[in-house]
Formats: sequence, C-alpha cells, structure tokens
Amino acid sequence: MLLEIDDLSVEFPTAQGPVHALRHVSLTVPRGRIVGLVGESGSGKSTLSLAIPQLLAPNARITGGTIRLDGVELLALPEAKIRALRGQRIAMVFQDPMSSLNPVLSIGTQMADIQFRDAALSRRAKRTRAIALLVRVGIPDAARRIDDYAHQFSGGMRQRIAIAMALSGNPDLLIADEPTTALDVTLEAQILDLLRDLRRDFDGAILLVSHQLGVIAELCDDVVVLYAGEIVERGPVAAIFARPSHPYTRALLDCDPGRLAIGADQFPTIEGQLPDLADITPGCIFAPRCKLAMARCHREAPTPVHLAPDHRASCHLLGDG
Amino acid sequence: MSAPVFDHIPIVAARGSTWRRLLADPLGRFGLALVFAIVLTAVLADWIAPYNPTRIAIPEKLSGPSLSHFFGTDQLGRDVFSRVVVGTRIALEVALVAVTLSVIIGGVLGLVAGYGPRGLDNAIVLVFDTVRSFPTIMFALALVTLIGPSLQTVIVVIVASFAPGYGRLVRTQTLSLKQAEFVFAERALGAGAARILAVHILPNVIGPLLILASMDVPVAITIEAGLSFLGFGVRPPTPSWGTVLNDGYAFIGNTPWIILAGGLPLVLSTLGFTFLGEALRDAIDPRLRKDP
Repeated sequence: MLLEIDDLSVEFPTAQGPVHALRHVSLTVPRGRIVGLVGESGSGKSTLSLAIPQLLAPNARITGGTIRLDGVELLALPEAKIRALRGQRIAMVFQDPMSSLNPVLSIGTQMADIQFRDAALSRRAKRTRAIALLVRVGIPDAARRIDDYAHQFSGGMRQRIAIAMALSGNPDLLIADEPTTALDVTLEAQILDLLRDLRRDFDGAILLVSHQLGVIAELCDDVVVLYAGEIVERGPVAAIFARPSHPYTRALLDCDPGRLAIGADQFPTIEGQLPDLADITPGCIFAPRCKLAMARCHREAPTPVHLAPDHRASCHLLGDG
Repeated sequence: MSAPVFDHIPIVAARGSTWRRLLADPLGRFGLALVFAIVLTAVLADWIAPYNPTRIAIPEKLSGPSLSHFFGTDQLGRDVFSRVVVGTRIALEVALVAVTLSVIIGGVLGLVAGYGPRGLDNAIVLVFDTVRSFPTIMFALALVTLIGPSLQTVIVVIVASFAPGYGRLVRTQTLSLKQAEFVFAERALGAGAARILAVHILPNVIGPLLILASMDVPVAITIEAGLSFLGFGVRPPTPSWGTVLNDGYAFIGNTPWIILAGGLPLVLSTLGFTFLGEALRDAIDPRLRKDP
C-alpha cells in the first residue's frame, strides 16, 4: 500500500476552543490508482491533503493517528526528512494556476530551479528535461515557449505547467487539490484527460481532491466521501455511484448538476449547514441535516459497515456494523 | 477566477519595454542625461580637471571666474572647478558605496525578518526602529566623537539612516509574498527557506528596492556634502562639494562664485537622480503606466 492514513485527527486551536477539522479519518491509496476525495467546502478535504506532506498551518495540531507512506510513518519524521520527501515522493498541484507560478521568473527558470536536487545535472540538461516535461503535459511548442512568463500562458496551460513541475521529481504520490476548479469546463476535461494519461506511465498514485462528483466519476478508481471532518463512505467509484449507501452521499449525488434531469426548474440542495466543528455533538455527524435521522442517530455515532469487501459506510440504517 | 492579490508588486517582466518607457518619458531622458554626465565627470575627473585640486597658489587667491579658472579660485588660490570635478568622484563613491551597502544590509535583514520566525522578526524590527529613531545629525555627531571624521564615518551614518527603511520595505513585501500560492507550491515541492528567499522572493522585491535606492542616491550625496561642510566627513585638503561650500561660506559676501560652484553640482545631481528614479518607477510600476 502506497499511502495509509489511519485514525487521523487534526484540530486547530481558536479563542472559542479547538476546531476539530478531521476526526478519526482512515483511508488508503494503493499504488497505480486514482483516489478521489470528495466533500463540500469546509469538510476538511484540504486539511487532509495538506496533512500528508505536513504542510498544515503551524497552529494545526495532529492529535492522533498515523500517516504511512510505503510503511514509513511520516508523522514521526523530522522536518528535514519530510522536506526530502516533498517533490520527490509526494508532490502537489493546487487549485489556482493563476497564482501558483512565480510571476517574475520565466517558466524555464522555475522548472530548472525545482530540479535543485539533481546537483550533477548541468543547466542545459535541466532545461532539456524541463522542455521534455512540458511536452509531456501537452504544452505546444514547448522548446520555444520555455522562456515565456506565467502571464503569457492561459489558465489551462498554467495548470499543465504546474503539473509538469510537480512531476519533475518523479513522485510516487501526486496530490491534486481541486486542480480543475478554477478552470472552465473544456479545460477541465483536458486536465482530467492529462491526469488519466499520466497515470498510465508514472507508476505512482493520484489523490484527487474535488467537490465535484462529476470530476471524481470521470477519473477515479476509488472514492472517499468526507463530511465535516469525518469519512462517511468510501469504496470503488462504480459501487459508490451504483449504490450510494450513506444518506449524505446520496444527497450529494442528487445535487450534482450533471445528473439533473433536463428542464428541472430547481437545484436540489441539502438543507441546513455544516455543523460547528468547535462544538461536536454526540451521535452521527450528519444527523442534524439527515432526512432519515432516527432518535438513535442523535445519540450514538455509527461505526463503518462493510457493504462489500472494499465498500463501507457509516450509517445506522445499514444495520449494525 | 480570483483577482491577483499581488498586483501591488511591480512586475518586471519585459526588460526591453521598461527601458523604452523610460526613454519615452522626457523627465526620464533628462534625468538619465544628467546622471550620465555626472558619472562621466567622476570617471574622467583626472583628465577633466585642469589643475591639481590641492595645488596652492596664494598669489591667485580669490580670483573671479575666468578662462583659466572657470569657477575662480578659493582663499588658497586653488582652482575651484578642479576641486568640484574631483569632488564629484568622492560624492559618487560615497553615495554608491553607502547605498549599495544599505541595500544589501537592509535587504538581507528584511528578507530574514519577513520570512523567519516571529521572534526574529520582532528583534530585527526593534533594531530598525531604534536605529531610525536617532536623528541623522545626532548620530553623525556621536559617531565622529567615537571614531573621528572620515569617509568611513560618512558611509556608516548613511547606511544607518537608509538600511532600516529598505529593510522595512523588503520585510513588508516578504510578509505578503510568503502567503503567495507560488511560494507554497515551491514548499510543497521541497524547496527550503534559502531557496525560496533567493530564487522566488528576492526577484519580486528587488524592483521596488532599486527604485527607492536610486532616489536615495542624491540624499546620500547631500548627507556627504553636509557632513563634510560641517567638518565631520572628508577632511581638507581633499576636495568634496561640502568642503568647497565650507571654503566659500566665509567669503560669501565678496566671492559668491565659490559657494555657487559647490552648490550647483549638488542641485544637478539631486535633480538628475530624482528624475531618473521617478521615471524608473513609472516605467516599472504597471499601475502608473500611461500607455496601454
């Protein structure tokens, strides 16, 4: 198993007491697969993706759990060792390609600089490699455009460049945090195509964070559904879409504009809002918004129920787990 | 698409076009010409000056401007024109060395304060504020008493009054750049603090810093002349614009040309560097751009 997160809890201290951003989160990312992490804004998707390379804000506290990369416990590693992993084994691509590239350095300069670990490589060799990477991610005329600056590229091209930079260290795990959210639909499809394509010839895994189920369905092998800092359901993408078992997953699917009937005059919504993470009540985390909630749901938290060997959901309606 | 958060940072992208915009500005051309003339004078001072600037010729003392002495002579019969020309070199040397040192010291401290841990930031800002709270002239007096009047004293005084300002500018820019997504993206790919500061933050702050520094060159020249005038800087008989002014000061009623000759280059260099600095700022800062 490439990445194993077990029982991870993260909190942020505030004046009103700690905010429990992630609670007892467990997930696995096998080598060669694309795992989608889906949830609405504020569900803890970014906290989870930043916790892996330990890039959380300095005030974040990891209060429990383990993160293992190829069996090595990351939370126990000193900062210098973690830094050596970043870019080499774990790389990240961010949401906004407009601001993730340095505006005053040419693309070539940035891409050559990020290969700083290859001290033996000459400037020229780094440049050649950078061009090869740009060609790989589909920048047309890469050899001529390598000395251009970020603002001379479109948003989609910039996201390709950001992906090329992330791939330059040949990482095992690529974490893409909402890589298409800032792009329009056409560009989104192109970037997703690129990621699918890349997966074929780099033997690592991709953790794709998104709030769009369409993106997840398009690209991922497995889905992890995160709600208010807890994983409510996880399983293979086909199983989740064919048989969404947690009421939240079902509600989320109903809200997907892509699945809406043509001519529908209203967007379905999930009533209510995310619970206050500084004040967690006992019982199921989704109970206050759940249309099917029973008395029991407000009293005790459900445990994950195995619906299939690799499909599980945490809901009392699914019987006792 | 979110609005660019860092639009206050001048983007020095296409250098050729900055140069073109600078030359398109009449003020820029004028400033550039003056600065060029001043630098040329300083470099070629030994060839331009018709006399040895320290050559004493008592019989010719306090003679008025003439073909053999363009700016006349002083109370010791020294050629004022030659003294002013050679003084240009001292003025520029002091200004350039002092401003360069200020840029380096202020820049490095500003980067460290802005990017480093909170405690270090507070300590450096405290040092900046303390040094800056001394009036320049009091600081100069104290320093002269301690180490005696010399060019080095002048340079230390200028650095002490400039470096904190540069440091604060760089610190503020670094603080906001530290939050930039491209810096975070670099960290996520394993870049360390030194690499991020040198490769990514420095190029983003160097533009505003250089503009500020170019506009401070005449201030440094004025401080040097002022301290030399007061006798805290360049010691006679070495020529400096300040010592020329001092020589002329006693005879201002009868021979005003000496003080005019010492003051004129001060005015010209201030104008030149200020115009150049302002035109440079306009040319680099996209928000002030007039052309589309």
